[in-house]
Amino acid sequence: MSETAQFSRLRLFFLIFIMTVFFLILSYRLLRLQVMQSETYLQQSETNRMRIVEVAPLRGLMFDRNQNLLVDNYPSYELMVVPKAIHENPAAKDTLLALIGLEEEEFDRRLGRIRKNLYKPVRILHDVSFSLYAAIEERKIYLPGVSFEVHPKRAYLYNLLTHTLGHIGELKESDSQRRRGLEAGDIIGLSGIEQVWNDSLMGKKGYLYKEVDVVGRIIGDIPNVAPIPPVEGADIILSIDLELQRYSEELLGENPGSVVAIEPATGEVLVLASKPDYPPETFANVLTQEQWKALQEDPDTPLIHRAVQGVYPPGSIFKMGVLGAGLQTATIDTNWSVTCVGGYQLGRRWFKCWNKAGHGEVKHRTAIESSCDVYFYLLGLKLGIDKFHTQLSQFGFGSKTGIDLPHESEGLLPSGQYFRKRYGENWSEGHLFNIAIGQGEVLVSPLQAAVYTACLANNGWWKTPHLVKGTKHGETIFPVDEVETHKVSLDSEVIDILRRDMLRVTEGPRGTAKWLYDPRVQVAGKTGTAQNAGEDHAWFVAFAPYDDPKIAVAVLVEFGEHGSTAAAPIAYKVIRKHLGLDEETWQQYRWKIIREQQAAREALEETPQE
Amino acid sequence: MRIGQRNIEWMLPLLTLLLLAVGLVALYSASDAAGVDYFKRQFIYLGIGTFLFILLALIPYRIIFAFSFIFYTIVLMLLVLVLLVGTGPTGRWLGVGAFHIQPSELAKLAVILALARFLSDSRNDIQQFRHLAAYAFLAALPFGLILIEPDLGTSLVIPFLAAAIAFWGGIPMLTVVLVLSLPTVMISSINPYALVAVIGGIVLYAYLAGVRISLALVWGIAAGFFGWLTPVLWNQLHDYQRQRLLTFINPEVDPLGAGYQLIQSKIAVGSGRFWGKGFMEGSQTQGGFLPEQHTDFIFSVIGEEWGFAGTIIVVGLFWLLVVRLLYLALKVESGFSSYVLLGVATTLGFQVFVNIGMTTGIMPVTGLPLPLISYGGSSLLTLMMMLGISTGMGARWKGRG
Repeated sequence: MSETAQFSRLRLFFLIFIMTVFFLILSYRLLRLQVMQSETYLQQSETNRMRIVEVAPLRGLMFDRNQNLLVDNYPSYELMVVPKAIHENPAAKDTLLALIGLEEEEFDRRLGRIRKNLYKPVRILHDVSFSLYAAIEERKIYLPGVSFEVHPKRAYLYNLLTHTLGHIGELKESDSQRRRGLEAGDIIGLSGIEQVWNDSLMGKKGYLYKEVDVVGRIIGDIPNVAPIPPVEGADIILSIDLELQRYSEELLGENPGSVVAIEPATGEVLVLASKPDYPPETFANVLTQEQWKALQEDPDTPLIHRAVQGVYPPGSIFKMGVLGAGLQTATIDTNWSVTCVGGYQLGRRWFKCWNKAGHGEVKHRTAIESSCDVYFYLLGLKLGIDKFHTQLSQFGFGSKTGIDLPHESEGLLPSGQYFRKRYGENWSEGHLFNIAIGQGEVLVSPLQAAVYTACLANNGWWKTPHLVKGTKHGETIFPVDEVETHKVSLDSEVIDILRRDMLRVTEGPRGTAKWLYDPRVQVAGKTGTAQNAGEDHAWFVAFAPYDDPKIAVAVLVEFGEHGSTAAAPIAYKVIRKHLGLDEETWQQYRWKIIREQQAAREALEETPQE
Repeated sequence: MRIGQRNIEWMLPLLTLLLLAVGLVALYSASDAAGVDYFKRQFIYLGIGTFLFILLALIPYRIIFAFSFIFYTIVLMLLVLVLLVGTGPTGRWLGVGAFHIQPSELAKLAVILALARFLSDSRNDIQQFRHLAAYAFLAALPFGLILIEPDLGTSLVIPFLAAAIAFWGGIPMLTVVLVLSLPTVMISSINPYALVAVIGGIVLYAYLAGVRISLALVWGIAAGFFGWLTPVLWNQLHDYQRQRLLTFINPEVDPLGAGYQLIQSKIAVGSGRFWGKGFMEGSQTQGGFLPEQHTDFIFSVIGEEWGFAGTIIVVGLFWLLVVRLLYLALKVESGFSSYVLLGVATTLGFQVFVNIGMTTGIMPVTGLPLPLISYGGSSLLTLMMMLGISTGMGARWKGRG
């Protein structure tokens, strides 16, 4: 350096001196450890070995709303072998092979999965039977290097709720870097409630301090050291009603479809059924390539949770929302009427009503009751896309409901912008016609349909649907936080009209579901048919009892063709079951009761109404 | 060797290569025991590292000089970013997908370059207080950001290298004593006689160095106040806080928590004895008793498998590297180069001392990697950049003439 003074050079020599002292300290330290005291450490490395054994916490259990256990844990015994120990002891190897009934070749293959690390125990068998466990434990002294590890496993007690409960598995090495506080190999929820509520369910790992011998066999505890016990995960209480869920899944049978039931006042989900499904323990074990392929390529798509991920055109169940939009924006009043001649000519295209004979003069009441399409074609046209979109989106169409499940579908509620983007500036009124009757581009999941129905049942109060009522730590139950709730901007008069019209669907003389009429309970409902390239899908949404709704249901049956025949009976049965109305009595006396009622109703119809 | 001609600086690359080779051998052993292929991944980092080494060795140092503040600013921004969106097991990584960097490693180089550039500017005079303050601020900013990450080990490198560069840059001896008096007083407060002796020494030194007696006495009183305050503060701490500090200083009081790694590491190193247990034969290493054996505790793998013969060679190689860097710092003619070389030397020396000290139980467990040997991309790349720059600078000093 140019400005280097003698003084300054001294400083650098001083730094060299300091550094050298540091390195001398290290050298002396190494000399002490590796030469002077090495015997002690060698002895320690050969005899006194300490190993920290992780203890997996028990994952929280899951109960239904009536405290029925749905998901349990059980211990799975994993047979572990230390390769070095078994290689050095051929007699032990023979004994072990005879006990577990494994070919030597296969045994060596499993041992060799992890490379040359000969001290680390390798898993040979997974979830061994108790008799084998006992047999091996008895001969333990002849089997050096053989041990068991206990892993908690999940038991899904019913063949129900497969998609909703989800499954657990080991955290992958590649994902562990994204999750703070977790390591690869930790057991976490990978789908469904297991995934969303993982933090509550998981608990915290514990640690045992064990002394092990040279081949890694555990000799005993380290004296005077308290192990750190694991913290159990919290139990979860679901809002699901086990009996109602079971009944709903039975009713769907193997038909692809979905049943969703919600308690309108709270937003609690009582039923969330999706068919077809797969056995809940499928992902708990290692899947073979073929099994996975078969599941993925099954044309019935059993892996899809139809209730929250399946989207379909809503068809006529959409009509209450469209009517509400018309009345609320004062686009029409209750006296507005159209004449239905079985369809409507728009330009060169004939838009038909489902009833080819036509409905004649139709006001809102008949329009819902007998599901007249022409009324809604013209109402849609009068509303225009912007009002249509604003009004319908407040029911949650086109956005996620926010239920506590992963990968929920948004569905689709087209806006003017959407149409312009897709078809250019001159998108036609035909598109508006179609979405006004819930066909064409509109897509809705069964859950969205149920939430919409619950909102109407609840006088316009929209509640976020949720599956978890609370978490349980020991005996104390902590309810979950209040869910998001808001009132849709529909006047109460408008909602009353919509509700009354829905009641006519099951009670009115032209009601599309009147054949299901049950005098014991007033059901407000709406049938729907989702047009499809193949056979149509059947919809039915309903809430009951009319005056004080306890349940809102949405049923979708794929390829069911007609809402009133394929979907509505399921919804009725679910409602009756929930309200404690006996199904058998009903089926037995049904025709007698209906005939009596019909006579009475006809008498009523003759007296003029307001 | 003619005046003005470029010399080939072959010692730095040679030592680097030797240490990298040692690292790969140790990593192969540790990698196999962990069942993860750290070895192959390190090879990829090594490829990039070698490229950076050669590139930076060939670039004229004026370009590095010109970019030093820009580099410093970018690294500062990365450090802020990592606080906001850091990922990884400790939240210290930044990046997308499989590629991520640890900005705190880059910060070491950035601080060295920034401080060297600051001091080599003739308008800055570290003897003046405001320039010293600016200098301290340049170091304190990244130091603080790394400290709150929190990454105590890495952050401590910065004050150390900043102090060393300042010392070389001609900071007044009095300031050195002033700065050092604080920790000395705090440590000596354990014993009242020692405290009195230390304070007396400080006052005497200040007086002899030409400070007015009144000022020297004020200084002595202030130091005494700190000495008195230390035990008071200590007693104010909660039991668990004291326990934590004690465990940090001496982990062996907690043999199953913080001390576990340390005890296992000492057993590994000690049981290696003079000649070691041999490659891939270490029972501590291969048995998976050593936590973090591919990163912070890799030296214990060397200790177990190669014995004292191996460890003393590694320590010797590091010593040669550090001393060579310091020697070049003395020889180069550019001030900037000299400061950079000194910064690199102290960073390396500090990390080696803290890391090997940690694995052998004479330093607290702080989580600093062993330079050039531990697994880890950011650390390796930063060191290769530092040594590449150093090699380039070392090749440009004029012979004695």
